[in-house]
Amino acid sequence: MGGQTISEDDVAVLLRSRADPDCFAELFERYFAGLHGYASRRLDGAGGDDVAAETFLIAFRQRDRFDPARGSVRAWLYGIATNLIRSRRREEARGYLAYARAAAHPPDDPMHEERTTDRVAAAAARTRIVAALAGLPARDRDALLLVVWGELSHEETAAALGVPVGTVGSRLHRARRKIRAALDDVDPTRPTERTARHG
Amino acid sequence: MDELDLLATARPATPPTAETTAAARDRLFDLMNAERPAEAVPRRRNRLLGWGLVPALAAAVALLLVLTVSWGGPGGPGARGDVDLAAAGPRPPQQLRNLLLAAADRTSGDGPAGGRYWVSRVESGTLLQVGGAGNRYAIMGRTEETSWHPVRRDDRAVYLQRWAGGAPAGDADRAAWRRAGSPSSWPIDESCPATSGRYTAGAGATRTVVGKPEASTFAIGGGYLTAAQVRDLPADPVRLQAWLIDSLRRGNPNLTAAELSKGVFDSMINLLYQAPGTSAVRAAAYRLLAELPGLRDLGTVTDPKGRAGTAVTLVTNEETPGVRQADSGGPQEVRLIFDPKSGRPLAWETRVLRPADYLAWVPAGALFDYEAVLETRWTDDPPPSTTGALPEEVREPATC
Repeated sequence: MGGQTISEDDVAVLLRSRADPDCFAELFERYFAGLHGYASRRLDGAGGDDVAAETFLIAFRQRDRFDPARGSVRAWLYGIATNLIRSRRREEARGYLAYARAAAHPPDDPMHEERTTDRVAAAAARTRIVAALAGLPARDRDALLLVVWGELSHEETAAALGVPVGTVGSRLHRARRKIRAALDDVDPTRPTERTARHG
Repeated sequence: MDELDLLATARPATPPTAETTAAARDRLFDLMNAERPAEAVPRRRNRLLGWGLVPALAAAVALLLVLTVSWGGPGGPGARGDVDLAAAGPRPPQQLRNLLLAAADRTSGDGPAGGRYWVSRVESGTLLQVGGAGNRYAIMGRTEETSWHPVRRDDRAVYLQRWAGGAPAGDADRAAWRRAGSPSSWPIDESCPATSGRYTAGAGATRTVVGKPEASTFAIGGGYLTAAQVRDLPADPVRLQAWLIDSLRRGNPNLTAAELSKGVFDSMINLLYQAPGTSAVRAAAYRLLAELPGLRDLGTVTDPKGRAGTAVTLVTNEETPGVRQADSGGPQEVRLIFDPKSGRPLAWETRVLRPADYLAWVPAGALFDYEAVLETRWTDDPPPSTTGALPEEVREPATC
């Protein structure tokens, strides 16, 4: 809210908050809704609420350790949230599978038959992708979801995870092959010509 | 669609609710408060001394800007972007912004404009000058008014007005009152005490006033809005401010940033304390205030009814060299008091900082006038009987 009138950049706000802790609230206003969205897609319900709230508590406590040379404030916040989610990775995987099960058996409704074949197919494909997320190694899943759901660039994702950009690229590549395989129902170890694209 | 496009739209999440956001912000604020260095507490006290205790306050609810020309409801053209309110003063300090943003998350409003009447019960007080020549002093006179504001055009507003009593305002006034023999009432006009009415120390009888058949309107921006139009104001604070500026400039295209800032501030007073507010509109008002240049934080105060609340304040009508103010009474401090826990508006007050001209008799910094909101609600119940009620347009007979 009110973001249009704010001109001071994130780093300046964060640096100021070291002497004047109240300033930190500005970062909450800027990023809570977005972080909550990212966390809630990975951990629905109370889990997403907790992660989003705890991210700011951890960030506030660690604000003296933030290093602007190593990435943006946004990437740093998403990295904290991602670490919190990783500590709940079983809960996360269970959530994807439960979501896929529920989506595979939608309640009967008259609208259902009116849907176009394409839309039904796309919905089914999304369900399979969500189920496939449960089977990804945590590090690959983190990279994939920071890019696609967190809408971070590859560079920001690298900063959030504390790895080189090239590593993000290879993790994304592996993750894509696996979810592609879930769609095609083929052997995920088969090489693919698709190249990683900028997320 | 490739797999990344499909994934991007898979398992969408709903935005956080206001409760979720407020709960998360509370946890962060608790942590921030715990870490605030101890020296910061005296710093805030100093702010209070430098500001509030030199009190200030002044009059005024009336919009200083006399504006009201052509008027379109919310939904008219957007604001011109060539005046920057930021030029009117410094951005509010972060601590203040945090309080207002928290109030925005928690405010509940009066609910949708669903009933036939919006009922408000308000106590207002104003400083009055009384006493004979050579021993003039001030009393705070209080009135209580319950208003039934109709939504329909064929219903009439009904006001129940009652003098709630008066008393010497400060210690000096109390001493002057004793010198005058501790009167229990005061002539309204000292020059014709026999025929003018009297202010009494005790409460008076209730009188009923009835309006013409029309939907009630509320002064917002440069014009008047019905309850439905208030409800339809932009819920986004940036858009609300743009709308208000546009509305104010329609009445007077030459307003400066400071004048617009004051106009926006007055609109927030009216929106929070004098008009039916939905939670969305009140939240937008608090968020807008969080960005309003020159706003200051007074911390926790007690309102005129003894209720604890958070006060934010703006000094208005300040002297500017070469500029003649529309209000010659001197600079005024206006306080908005609200409950930080519920976001409920409690009261607003004014103090005259350097009384001048027609307000020269007012003690500098003393509470000059206020309005305390006691109750607001929507109802379908009919208002009280108006048999024998005074029509709104009839003035009190001239006394002298």
